[in-house]
Amino acid sequence: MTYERHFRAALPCGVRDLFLEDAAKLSKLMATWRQLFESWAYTEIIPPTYEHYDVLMAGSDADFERRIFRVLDREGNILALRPDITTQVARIVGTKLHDLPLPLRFYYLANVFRFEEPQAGRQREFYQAGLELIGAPGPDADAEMVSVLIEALQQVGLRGFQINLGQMAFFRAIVAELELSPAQVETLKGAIDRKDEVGLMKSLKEWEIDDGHAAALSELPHLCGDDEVLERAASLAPNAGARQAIENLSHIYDLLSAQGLAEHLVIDLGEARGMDYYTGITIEGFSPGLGFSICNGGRYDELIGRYGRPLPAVGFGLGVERVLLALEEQGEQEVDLAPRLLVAAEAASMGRAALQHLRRQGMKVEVDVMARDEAGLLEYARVREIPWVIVAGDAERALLAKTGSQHWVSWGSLEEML
Amino acid sequence: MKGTLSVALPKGRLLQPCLELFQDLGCAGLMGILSTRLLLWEEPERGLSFMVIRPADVPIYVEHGAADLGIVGRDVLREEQRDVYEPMGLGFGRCRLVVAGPPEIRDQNLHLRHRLRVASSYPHLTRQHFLKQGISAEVVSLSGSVELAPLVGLADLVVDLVQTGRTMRENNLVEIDEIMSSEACLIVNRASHKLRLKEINHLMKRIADVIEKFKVQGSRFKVQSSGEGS
Repeated sequence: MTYERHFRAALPCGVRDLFLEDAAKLSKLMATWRQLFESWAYTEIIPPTYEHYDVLMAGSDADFERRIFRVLDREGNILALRPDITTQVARIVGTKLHDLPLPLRFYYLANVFRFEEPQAGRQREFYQAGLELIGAPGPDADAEMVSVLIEALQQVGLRGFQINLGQMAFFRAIVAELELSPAQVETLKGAIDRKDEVGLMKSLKEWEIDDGHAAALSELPHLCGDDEVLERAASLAPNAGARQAIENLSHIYDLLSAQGLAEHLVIDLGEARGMDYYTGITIEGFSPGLGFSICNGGRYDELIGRYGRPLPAVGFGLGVERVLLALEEQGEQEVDLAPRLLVAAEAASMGRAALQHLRRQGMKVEVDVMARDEAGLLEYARVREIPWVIVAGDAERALLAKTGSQHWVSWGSLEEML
Repeated sequence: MKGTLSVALPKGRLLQPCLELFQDLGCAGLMGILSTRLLLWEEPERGLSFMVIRPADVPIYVEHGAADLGIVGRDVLREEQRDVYEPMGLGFGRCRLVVAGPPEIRDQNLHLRHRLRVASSYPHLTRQHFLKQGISAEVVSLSGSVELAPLVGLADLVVDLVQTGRTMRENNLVEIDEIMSSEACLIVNRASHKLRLKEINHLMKRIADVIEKFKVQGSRFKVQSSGEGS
């Protein structure tokens, strides 16, 4: 028999159903991170799934415009499904929470929507887990962000990952002095994004950029590596702003090194993406065997001001499905969905208090609701891989069975038996 | 430890010079790939492995990280619009992407035509090129033998690659406009570039040395007897 397979099973492109192991893995990851984020004194923020389009766009990277899901409501308002959470947090903080004592620490575990070609580890709906630390302008805040990020990846068992730290203020300080047209800035960014050195040099020459600035810009694609890169960048910095930007990044790097985290870090000044958004350090994480980044973040001191009171802020977002892929890539163990104990309905009502105690210890206890007899219970337990079965019970005792053998035990001694 | 670096090479006119390039880098047996049906070729001693795929697929493999690096024409790269690094041009496989048509169309003002149909295997670049001039061309997307389209009334113009111009001349088409010039480019997956920077930089350095050597000696990569592109 087919169950209307063709028509009613159809899904639109870009979304998927998650159940059993897939759902369990996703929520296990998020539960781990929830606990970690709360232990760092972050509190949860839950913005709405959709908002007014123009309100969201006011704080979004122009790049999002083409990738945003738009919806018309019945009054003709244009709404948008959120393409990221940071913009929403900026709106909430800028308009509502700006009078609270600073800093503010928020975490989120939420789905976002982007109209993109679905690819490995990224559908059009996907999950992000992230932090925003608001109100603190200094390197301590940036370092905290990177430090929690590294802990988050370590705690879920990811190995060999790498965090690239950039500094958008360096690029911005150099470009600011050149008085380029927006089109020229786009060309420059495009060449840097592609690491197209020849194209970059050609443009710099064509626009007659002076040697100092040209040297710094054309060296950008090579400013990637360990802390030695910081010295090279400092010597290339053509103005005070660029020098300060490097000092700031050095400071953050030193703070992280002091915590013993340098092994995960790579200094990477060769990126210009997100230039409209980020004003300070940028954070991008990679994992061996995965062809795309697993997390993104950075300092965005100008975003909250677009909505209200200007406040400095730094944050990151982890791509939950991408981290799951990275874990799969390194052969992370499966989640165990099977209950530990199956109990016949009648026995379950006799031993209610004892079973409640077991559940509170975190044990999965399933009660039979199919009126199975003893043979039926044992067969079902075999198929579902449930190791223990209580096939009968009275007020004091339970008849506990495990493959082949069974004996009476008191409800009170169950915990040590299992 | 981390395994080999995988390189995606394009089938067709760029394959021979690509193989020669890596042969010069010490992959002695690589030419053998031409006489097998193998799609994957390992050179473990050089720390490299190769796959040979359709040119348009090279940027896709590299963007997704199925290959760490790839070689592909800049024309294909611009058409495909993939998020990859393209740190170096390789100097071979030079050609141009041009607009061409029958000689009589040369003197016409294309803005005044109420309909313009253009055949190309570069639909994205073609549309972009005409839209930039305010012409809303109808683009007929073909996968080969584009020059035929004006001869049989399928299109008014074509957008195609030219190397020597011979195929165009033989089909009585004249060049009207140039969209871009192209050459073979090395492309790199973003994550691979971050995670295996040293190995990739080292390989790029060696490639640059080989290319430079042939520039000085007079390149054997320069003119391919296989003639025109598609």
